[in-house]
Amino acid sequence: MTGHKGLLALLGVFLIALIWIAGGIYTVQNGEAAVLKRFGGLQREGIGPGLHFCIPRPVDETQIAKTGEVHRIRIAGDTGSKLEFITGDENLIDTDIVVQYRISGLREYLFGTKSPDDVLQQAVRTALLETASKMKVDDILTSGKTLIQNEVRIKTQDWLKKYGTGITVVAVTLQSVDPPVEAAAAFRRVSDARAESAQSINNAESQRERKLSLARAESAQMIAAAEVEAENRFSAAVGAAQWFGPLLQQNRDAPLQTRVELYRKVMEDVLSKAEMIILAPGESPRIDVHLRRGEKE
Amino acid sequence: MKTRRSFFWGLLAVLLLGWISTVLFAIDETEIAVVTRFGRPLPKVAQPGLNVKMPWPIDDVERLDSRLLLFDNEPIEMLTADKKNLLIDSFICWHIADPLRYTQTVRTRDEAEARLLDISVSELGAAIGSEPMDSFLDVTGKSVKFADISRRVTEAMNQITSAGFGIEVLDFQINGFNFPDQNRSSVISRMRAERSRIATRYRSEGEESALVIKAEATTERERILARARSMADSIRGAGEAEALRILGEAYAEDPEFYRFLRTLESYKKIIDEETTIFIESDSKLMKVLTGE
Repeated sequence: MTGHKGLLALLGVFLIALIWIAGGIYTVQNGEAAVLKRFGGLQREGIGPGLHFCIPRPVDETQIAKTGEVHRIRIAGDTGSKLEFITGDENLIDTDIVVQYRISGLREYLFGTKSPDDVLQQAVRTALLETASKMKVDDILTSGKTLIQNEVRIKTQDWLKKYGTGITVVAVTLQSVDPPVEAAAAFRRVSDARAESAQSINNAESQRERKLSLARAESAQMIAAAEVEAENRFSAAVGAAQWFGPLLQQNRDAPLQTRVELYRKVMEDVLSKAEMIILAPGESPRIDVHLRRGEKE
Repeated sequence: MKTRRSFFWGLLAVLLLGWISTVLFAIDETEIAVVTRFGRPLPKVAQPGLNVKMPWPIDDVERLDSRLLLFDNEPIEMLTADKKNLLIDSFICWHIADPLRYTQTVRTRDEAEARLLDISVSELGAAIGSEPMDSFLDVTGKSVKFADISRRVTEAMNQITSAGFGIEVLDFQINGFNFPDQNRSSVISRMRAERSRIATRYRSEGEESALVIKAEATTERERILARARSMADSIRGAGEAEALRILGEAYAEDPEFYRFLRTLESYKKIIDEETTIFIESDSKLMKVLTGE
């Protein structure tokens, strides 16, 4: 009776011990790392993925963190959802910042800083403030975004290193950079004005192109016309020379006859058209009529 | 009777065991502890891991956070040297450097942070008040003063806190620098006015450029046409010259006959239906006409 009872108790103790020991089995997943604490003090660090065993609680304790993963946090403002900052030329800008980071020093991350994420948040805000206070609002809204991102990342990283947070900043991204809502319309009007200005310059350019191509066409025409004229003149000269050749020959053979014939022919043509007044020898023509074209009496 | 006694001994054993176990205590990696003997702290600070002390009620353990702690100050209004009102937000990174001094002076985190707040505000106020606004906001490329002030306040705080409270301030940083809410609307309206000025400038610059381009186009057009005109003239001239050369060559053989022909040609051109010709009766022409 008593032996049976003792066996049962032994079995019970054994079972409880087994369950307790099983509590010491733990797995570290891919992309994770673990540290082992014994009575609270750090015993081992850098435990990689796989199945592991430790002395069960309350002796040993493990802490696991995702060291392979890139974590993301959004940096928010004090009030509202946007973070507002002031530029070097005293303009206000609202932004949305997302910071990506990795846990690069697990020991520091777990034991060095009470709230590493909060420290990261504050450091990013300081870095943004310092960077923006040297920049013009127009630069920030246009080309300066990358510059800010880089400078904020570098500054933040410096501070986090100094504080020993075990965090490495992978990227700082300004997701939006806008003027405050109250001034947004005024900023839009500036970009409208800029577009308008570009438009009017464009229009002027295209007008100019049109004007110049017309001028070029006109000058091509002018030159072509001149060429035609020169050609005609040349052909006429050649024609005249060709016409003159035979006449010359004729004139050489029978000078008087040729001349009289030519003269007569022309005079016939000419005098048949014109009005003719024959004067006595020595009489001078009294031209008191209006010898204007189209006003014959 | 027998069972009662064994119960008593059992209870005693458990209590004894419990009491003895107060000799051991574990300190976490994030902690550091001061052991007090009858309330008086012992010089040796307990480190993370398993530690030994005298059993209760002789020794007691006071645990402290050994990590870097963040204290986020509330935004405070401050005046710059040129009397501009600003809302300044800041944070402090600190940790307990001397646990014994810390436990003797401030004891709790809230109390420590209250001290840090007091010291930082007075240091920061002095620092901000000695600089004009331009020291913080500047686009001319001078280095702005945030880092300076941060260093100055950190140093000044450490001088007080490290000896006084066993606190080391790693960093004091300004992380908010803005106009107070009551000034915000005037800042916004200034921004608006500035924008409309810029918009006007863009517009007039655009118009100006357009006008310049148009004027240039007109000039360019004239230049192109003038060039074409002179080219056309020279082509025409070359043609004329060539024509004259050909004619010249042809007529050179008998210039007198050429003159005669030219005269006839001229008659053809000059005389038309509206011409009146006066002829003397004894002229050569009359002779030709009358056949004399």
